Amino acid sequence: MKRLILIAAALFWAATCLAAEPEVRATVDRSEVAPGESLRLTVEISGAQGAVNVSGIRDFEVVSRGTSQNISIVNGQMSKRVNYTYTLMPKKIGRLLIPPLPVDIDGRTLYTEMLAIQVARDGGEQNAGRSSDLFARMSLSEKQVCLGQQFIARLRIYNAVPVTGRAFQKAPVFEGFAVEQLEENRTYTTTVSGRRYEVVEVVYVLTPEKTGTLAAGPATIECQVVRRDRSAGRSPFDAFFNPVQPVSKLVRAGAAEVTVVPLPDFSGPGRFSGLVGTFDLQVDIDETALTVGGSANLTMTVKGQGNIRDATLPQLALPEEAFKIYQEDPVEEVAVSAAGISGYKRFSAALVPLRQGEYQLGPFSLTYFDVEREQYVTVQSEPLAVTVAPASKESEVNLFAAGKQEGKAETSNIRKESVRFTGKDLFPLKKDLSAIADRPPVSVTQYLLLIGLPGIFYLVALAVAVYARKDESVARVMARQSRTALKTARRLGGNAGGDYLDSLYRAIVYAVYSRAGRQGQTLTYREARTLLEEKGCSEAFIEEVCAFLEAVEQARYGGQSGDASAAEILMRTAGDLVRRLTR
Amino acid sequence: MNGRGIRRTGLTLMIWLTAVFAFTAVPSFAGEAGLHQQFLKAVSDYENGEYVRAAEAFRALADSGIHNGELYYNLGNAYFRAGELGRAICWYEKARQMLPADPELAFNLDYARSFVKDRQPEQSSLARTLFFWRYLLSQKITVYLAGAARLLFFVVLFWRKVFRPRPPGWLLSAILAVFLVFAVTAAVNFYLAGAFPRGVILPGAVSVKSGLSELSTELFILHSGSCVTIEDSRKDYYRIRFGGDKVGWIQQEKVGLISLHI
Repeated sequence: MKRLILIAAALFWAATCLAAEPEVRATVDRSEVAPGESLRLTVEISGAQGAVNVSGIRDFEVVSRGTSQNISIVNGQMSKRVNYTYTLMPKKIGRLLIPPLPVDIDGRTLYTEMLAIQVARDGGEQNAGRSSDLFARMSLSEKQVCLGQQFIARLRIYNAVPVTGRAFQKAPVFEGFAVEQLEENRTYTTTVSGRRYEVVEVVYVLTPEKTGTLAAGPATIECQVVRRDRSAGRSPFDAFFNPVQPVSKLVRAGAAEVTVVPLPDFSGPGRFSGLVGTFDLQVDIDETALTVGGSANLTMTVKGQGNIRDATLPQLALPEEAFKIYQEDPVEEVAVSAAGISGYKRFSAALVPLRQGEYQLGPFSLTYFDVEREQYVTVQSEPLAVTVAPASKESEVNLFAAGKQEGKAETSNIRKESVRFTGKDLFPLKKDLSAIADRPPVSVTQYLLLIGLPGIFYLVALAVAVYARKDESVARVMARQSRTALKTARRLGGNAGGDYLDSLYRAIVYAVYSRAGRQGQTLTYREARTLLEEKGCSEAFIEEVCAFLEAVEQARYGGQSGDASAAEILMRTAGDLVRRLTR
Repeated sequence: MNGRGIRRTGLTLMIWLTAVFAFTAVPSFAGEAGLHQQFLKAVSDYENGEYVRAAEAFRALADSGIHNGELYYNLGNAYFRAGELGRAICWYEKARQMLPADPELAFNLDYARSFVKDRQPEQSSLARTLFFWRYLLSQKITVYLAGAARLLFFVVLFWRKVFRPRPPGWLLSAILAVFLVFAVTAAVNFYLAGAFPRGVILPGAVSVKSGLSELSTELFILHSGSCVTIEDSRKDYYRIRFGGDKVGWIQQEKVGLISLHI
């Protein structure tokens, strides 16, 4: 009976848990924000796990901040809550809507309620963000500039609450501008609408590269705001050990616009250098008394404030065909400050006079557009007087390819010159279809295989050779010993008697062992027969070998070694048998 | 099997082989024809002055998995003409890894480098003289030469062990020396490409920061086409070194990687 009651209670409890219907709810932490401020959207799913679709939110930029889960048991009923958190940044001002968000739960779709957010209209810097802890502004030093005229853009991030870190969530875009950023950011405090703010200021020097209405920015900055977090569910111990929690907040600085107008048409003498700002030109030469074939260094320095990096070599007003000019790479030194870009660019050229005489170099001029005066200004350097004396005989320069002169021996006074580039351009494309044949690079694995495999092949081949030779080597050794014995017999000659016959005998015995692939020193002719039969030798051949062995033995022990002709016959027969046995 | 059976078997085999060839070769021929057309279209765009389109077409071929130094050279040309100096130098450098001795590539790369605003740190001429083969041969050739020397070494060693007459000992030593030179060179190349990958600055000007944020202090500025060594990567930033003493962090998207082996 007790068991029945327990089972019933367990079933009832399980049923109550399963009976809970899933619910979805969307909430925001604030319903009114200023432009550039963010708000937090939380979608809560109770009683189930689901997936939230936020693609329907059009009026805000949405950044997911993750999920959290909460499980609680109340009166025996277990409930589970999953929270999806998002940071929303409004894209415009006015009354913006967060539409009902579909949440997919096990194939079923539930919807949250629609939420309305009021984004207050911007009333100017003094009024903007009146009650905001955080805001950001992009401001420009000019509303209208000329093409090439530099100006300053300042991105200011204001915070009235402590902030531990700032990073660009979306860095400002300066399309149509050349941008230089100041090395260090400025930090200062200011008061806006009676509230004290700490300001971080990022300074950019912008130089427009095209005309029209251009935008600087916008930018989105993520700030880690320090605040005490008293959210529900945190234990007192968390508050003790972790009293502050940085909360991520997004602030947006809207784009600032500037109108870029084209420069007025240039109709003065000379040519416009492309520089906009305020500049000066200095020209120097290190030597004014030269000889033909000598050299001097001409330096032209363009100095000032503006787009100095775009400075090009001023026009060289030099007497034609009097000087050879070798230009060097320009050197520039530029500083970026809150006032803009300033510095100098120095152009150097080596001058080699070709003819004697007195020359005036320059005056050299530089035409730039002065923004303050709103007109083109031409600066000129003082002309430089240069005297070129005739060269010494060794360094005489012939300008003409002279033929043979009358009454004079033909000599070559041509001064050799280094061949220099008169122009440069790219070599053309490689048009052959072999350009699209795949030639993948070699990997480390392939390299190791190429290095390692030959060694492995070597070891395998060596093992095979050693194994194959095992049987052979005995035969070869015995064959070599047989030949050695035969040589000995030949050397001793038939008159040596017993030693000679001994050598012949050994020669045949070793040859038979060689054929059998075995080692041995002595052999009866019965044993010889057996060995040769095993190796498949013909009966006639075996008879020949055995007969020879018998004949030698008889000669050895019968004392018939003295006959030279017989010895000769034995020698020849032995040689023939050894040859046939060891091949 | 009689003659008739043999002929029937042979005919069946031929039919099967033809079918296999048709099903495998035709798609590959069709695929190759498509690549040829793409390539020729890219060349035509380049010659008509459509450099951006040509660069995109060459890039598509490279992204399809084709590794070819000449294709990379063409990419360098197209990007240079399109005004993207950083990308041009990046692709020229990639091509140089595969065609180190190509004179046209060397010229174009040198020409493109003349437009780089930053003065590049000078490379050691002593190293280039002492280890000249490292700058003349591609990594592939170096590895193959090491492999060939290795194989030859073991062939000669085997001959000495097994056959007569034996090759002289100095021959073995010479082959071993050649193998060591190329094997060590290849190993050093792999190590340097993996441990110290190189990159090229892509945008016109890049602010090199002290930390992993655009709000960090600017340390120095590098311009398009400057070559850097990549020492570390974190989040979406690289820590780069320019010259001996200039180190800082820049966003990964602003650096084009040169090394082919990483």
